Amino acid sequence: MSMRRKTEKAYFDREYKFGTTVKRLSVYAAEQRGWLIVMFLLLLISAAISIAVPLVVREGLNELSKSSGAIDYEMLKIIGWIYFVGSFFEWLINYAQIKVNWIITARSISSLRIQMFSRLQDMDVGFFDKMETGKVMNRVMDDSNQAGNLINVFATFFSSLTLIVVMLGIMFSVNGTMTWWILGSIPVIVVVVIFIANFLRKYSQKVRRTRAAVNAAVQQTITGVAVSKGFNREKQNSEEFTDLNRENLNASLKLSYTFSIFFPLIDFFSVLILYLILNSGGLQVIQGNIRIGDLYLFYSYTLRLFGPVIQLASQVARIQAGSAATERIFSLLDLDSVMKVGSDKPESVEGHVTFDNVHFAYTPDVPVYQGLSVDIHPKQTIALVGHTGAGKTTMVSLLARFYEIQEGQILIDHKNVQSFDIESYRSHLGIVPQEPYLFAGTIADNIRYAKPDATDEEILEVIRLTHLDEFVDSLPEGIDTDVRERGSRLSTGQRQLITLARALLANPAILILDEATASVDAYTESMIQKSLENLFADRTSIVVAHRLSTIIHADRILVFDQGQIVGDGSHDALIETNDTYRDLYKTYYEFQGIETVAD
Amino acid sequence: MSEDTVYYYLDRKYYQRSHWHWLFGHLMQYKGKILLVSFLTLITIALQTYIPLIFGQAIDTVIPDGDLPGLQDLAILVIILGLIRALIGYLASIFNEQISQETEMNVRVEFFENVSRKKMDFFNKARVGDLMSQATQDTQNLTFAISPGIRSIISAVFGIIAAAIAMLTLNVTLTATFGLIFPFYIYFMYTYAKRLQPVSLDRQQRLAKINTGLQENLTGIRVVRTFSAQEREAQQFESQVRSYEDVLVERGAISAYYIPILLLSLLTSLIFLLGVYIIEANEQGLSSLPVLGLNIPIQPLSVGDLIAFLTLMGILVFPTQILRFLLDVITLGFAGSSRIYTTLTTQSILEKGADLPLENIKGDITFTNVTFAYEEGARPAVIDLSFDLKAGETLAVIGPTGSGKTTIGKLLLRLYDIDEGSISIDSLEVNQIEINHLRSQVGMIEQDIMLFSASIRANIAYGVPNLTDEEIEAAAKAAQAHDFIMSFPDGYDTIIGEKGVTLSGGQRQRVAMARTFVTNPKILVMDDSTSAIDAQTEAKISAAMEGLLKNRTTIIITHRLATLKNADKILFLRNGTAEKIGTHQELIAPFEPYRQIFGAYQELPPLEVDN
Ligand SMILES: Nc1ncnc2c1ncn2[C@@H]1O[C@H](COP(=O)(O)OP(=O)(O)OP(=O)(O)O)[C@@H](O)[C@H]1O
Ligand SMILES: Nc1ncnc2c1ncn2[C@@H]1O[C@H](COP(=O)(O)OP(=O)(O)OP(=O)(O)O)[C@@H](O)[C@H]1O
Ligand SMILES: [Mg+2]
Ligand SMILES: [Mg+2]
Repeated sequence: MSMRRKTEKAYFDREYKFGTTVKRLSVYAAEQRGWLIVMFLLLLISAAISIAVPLVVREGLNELSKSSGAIDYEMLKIIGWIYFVGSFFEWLINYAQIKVNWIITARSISSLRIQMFSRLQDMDVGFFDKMETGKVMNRVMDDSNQAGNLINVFATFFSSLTLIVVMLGIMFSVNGTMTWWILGSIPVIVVVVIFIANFLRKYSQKVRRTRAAVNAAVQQTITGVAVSKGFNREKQNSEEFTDLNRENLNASLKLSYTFSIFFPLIDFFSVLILYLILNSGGLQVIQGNIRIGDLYLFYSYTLRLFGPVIQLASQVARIQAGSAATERIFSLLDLDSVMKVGSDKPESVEGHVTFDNVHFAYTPDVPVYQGLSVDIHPKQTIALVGHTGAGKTTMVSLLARFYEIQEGQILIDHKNVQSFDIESYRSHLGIVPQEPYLFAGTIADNIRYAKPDATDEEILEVIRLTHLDEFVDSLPEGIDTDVRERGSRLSTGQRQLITLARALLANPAILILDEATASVDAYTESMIQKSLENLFADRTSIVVAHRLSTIIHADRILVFDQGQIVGDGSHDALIETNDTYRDLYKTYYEFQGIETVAD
Repeated sequence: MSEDTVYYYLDRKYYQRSHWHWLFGHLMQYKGKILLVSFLTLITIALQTYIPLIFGQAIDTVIPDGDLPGLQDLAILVIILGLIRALIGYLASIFNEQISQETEMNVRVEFFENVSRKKMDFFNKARVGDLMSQATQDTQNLTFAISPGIRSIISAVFGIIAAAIAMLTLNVTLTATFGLIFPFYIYFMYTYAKRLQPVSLDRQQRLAKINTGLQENLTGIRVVRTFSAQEREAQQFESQVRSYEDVLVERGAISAYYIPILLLSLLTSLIFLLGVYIIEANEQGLSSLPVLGLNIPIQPLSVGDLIAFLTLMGILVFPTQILRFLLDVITLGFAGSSRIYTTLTTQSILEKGADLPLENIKGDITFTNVTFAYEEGARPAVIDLSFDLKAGETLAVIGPTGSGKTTIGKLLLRLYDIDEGSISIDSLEVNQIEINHLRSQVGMIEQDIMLFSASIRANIAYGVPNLTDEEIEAAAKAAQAHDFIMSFPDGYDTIIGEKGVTLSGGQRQRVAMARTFVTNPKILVMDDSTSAIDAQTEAKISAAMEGLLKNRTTIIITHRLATLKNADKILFLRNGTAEKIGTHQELIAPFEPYRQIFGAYQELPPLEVDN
């Protein structure tokens, strides 16, 4: 557990200074510039109204309660109606303000999510090997939600500041010394806020991290539910899950405890100031320096002043607490894909593949290839054989540009693959991966994934080629049958055949089959092979298989052993000259017990 | 953890009615704390109102009197009360957070446990992203609802009650006006909540949709790349995110539109006007007021009373605002809880059996006329299947893809209940056996390997915690996994990626094999578990397993033929029915489909054995 955290941390998360966070957030704020200005104005107007309305009412009350002279009822009625109309106006402003607030928040969240998503689409596959899906999802969904809420700060901050300035102006005009007294307390508040904010940041980092772990646990448990049932793991899983949740609970409680100090503390500050006003102000009144009305004004304005001050302080705190989320987002956005890409968009590819002294390691100290060289001519059918873990799939992954090599070069039609635009390069490849993966959706949707504008006829054609037609016909909904997430409605062989059909539909110049029929019975496999013969003929095909019957007729067989090619040639040549291959074949042959059939 | 009993985290009665009741049940676990928070909140409210009064007293009497010691006493009193208020407020919020966050956690744990017990049917249909969304996003909304909920409700309700009592004692006519409009006020809130409700649910559903799409995109990342579908995926994601954005804005607009403060301000201004008219009428000596041609009797009103009345209405501003906010977060919380509740109460459990213990078994297996369909109405995956296997025997199952081989293993593990016939172990029907006992006796190496993102050690010890290193290594050796594991710098502590992506296909299968070997099952089902392994390694595994398989009943599902010769029985499946059961010799001569499979191998060029 701790080890994973270490790799994740080293690999991934960075720290950003408060200033950087604000600066980078302001980029998103700039996107919403128009609405933020509207928001700012609305905030000012509503503040003005909330100051003005009581004034109007007070005016009316003063008139009512005046001790001498006749009461001016007409004026009072007018005030009443002004109030009546003003209320509508106030509501309107409020309405606009809340709405604009939501627009800004919602858009900021969207833009963060979309940006992260497209960043993820460009990352090298190695990134996903290291990160758990649930944790990545947590960044895209949850952290963005937290950070999106911060954008409004850019409006509220300035409106609070404006209000504070206005209030202070009024207070100064009434009595300078007392205003200084009150001002003196503000640095104290600032210090306290900064102090607390640091804790907030620390705790919310922990909250974010543990929450991501909870998310990942849910994801892994649900995807592995059949295994945990088979191994009776439910009880332990739920204990582990509870532990993860406890960790998260403890972190978030700590965060809340710290956050909760904040408001009572500020509250207490306002009482302290009240004390100052009472004690020193009261004294001044008694000594006749100021009038009692001024004291009252001071009292009410100090209370009002504290609204924006509290707001300002809590915004700083919110940014600090939110910076745990923004850091996680920025770390992801700032992560560079290790893929080196160019901009060439090859129109067509002939299918000449060259590996030239390729060095590659998934993890720094464990090299898979240390100088792999091989030259594959167009339209050849190449078979890769070798023990498990010898590096066959790795070759496929490198060709697919899932990982970046460390040394040497991979050439397609004599051009370095790094000079190609990765997506248009891949569109010339068709890969059936060792692990079939299907999306939730119909059989047709899944096959069509390779070519969105394919007609039903084309789809039925590849279904026929892969001998899936009998199965598809037996389904009441035919190719419109929903296969569910990961294709869970199908048998493994059926899933494999659909991924094969999908790759065939792409009609690629280079076709790569990595154990594409390993889970299919030998008879069906041989039938498929027959029907694919023509297809293989006019493209470069690379076939990985442990079942040697699959590859015996390949033009060339590459024998892999511990990341090296130790044999290269046709079956007949290899069986004569290559020990590794002969051993492999011999065991296979004997192991399949074919002699028994011979009689 | 039984899969055949409904799981109740709370008392059963909380699951009879609705998600409100269920949520209430969760809150009831914290009755004591809720009472405490209520009490503390009341105290802070009292102090909140009392402190300004002290100030009023100072201005009204102490300062004009020039009473210096009295002034200082008051100032100190303010400080002390302020301190108490801050402390109590802090305590209240701490308890409050405990209630809400612990409830969130409890709900999440309940959700997790409940879902874990659902049978496989449920997971076949559920979307991972959606369940994740319920477990995290919907539960989080509960905290947002409960956390301000308790304290705010108390402040709001008490504020309103106190103001209402005070008003009544002041002036009946004005209170009556107020009372006339108050039902509208309530109605207003009611329609607000009502309009917010469907939108809130919609919001959560769209959020879950983004989650689902994201989950699939990330797990299928290689396929996305292979077909250069990033652009398409990004567009789809964006449209989902935008649709969520729309619902957020829409919800915000509804929330903004129903600001009840409007009603209150209008009411205040009307009362002000009315008050002015009444006072004017009083002055002219009238005892009733003409409104729309009717004479309404009025009660005399003094100026001071009107002022006091208006001030009291001012007190209502705060509760009103809070109520709006509360309704907003609470409808959102309810939307989440209704989604969770629906999942919790979805009936998806295995049929209840006799829960017979199964400790020391021999390992006889009998399938009698078993018929099973994954879905009602669908073509059965297994039809009228019968075979029996004595303890220690080996059965090889072969057949075309989709013929129901894997299904046999799943049924033996009782991941599903069969529709007809019976499956028994040692002549006990599997659905009568305690499920954990059954599953600890039956070990299955699945066809689709699911490893977890953890260390290799933890993966092997998945089914048996507290294994010694020797035991783990022994199993890894039998599965021919020890050597490659040791070739990694971190050995058994190497952390592998999700689903085992950082291992090669054959390495994954061998880790999975070791994982099953350590559980030492009496009945072993190997589902095509060497498909990604070369023949030499497979031969070594076979040799190692010969010792392992002794005294075990084994079902080997395979497309490789090596195993068939040694099997005691071979079952040839097609379309879910047993076409033939017999030994290799019995099948090879007369049975055409079987020969066909072998034929594919026969085409291999012969091996010249040079001595
Ligand atoms: N994503 C990865 N991250 C780290 N190491 C990896 C990754 N994928 C493979 N490896 C390691 O690289 C080596 C070669 O793996 P590769 O998948 O190429 O083998 P393979 O020849 O395809 O084997 P198999 O026949 O079992 O599929 C193995 O030791 C494996 O553990
Ligand atoms: N979860 C499921 N829901 C609905 N139908 C299913 C489900 N799993 C499998 N099926 C269907 O049941 C039939 C038998 O599937 P099963 O997985 O047992 O085949 P199999 O013989 O193991 O095939 P393979 O050799 O491809 O692994 C198939 O037609 C498949 O489509
Ligand atoms: Mg491989
Ligand atoms: Mg199967």
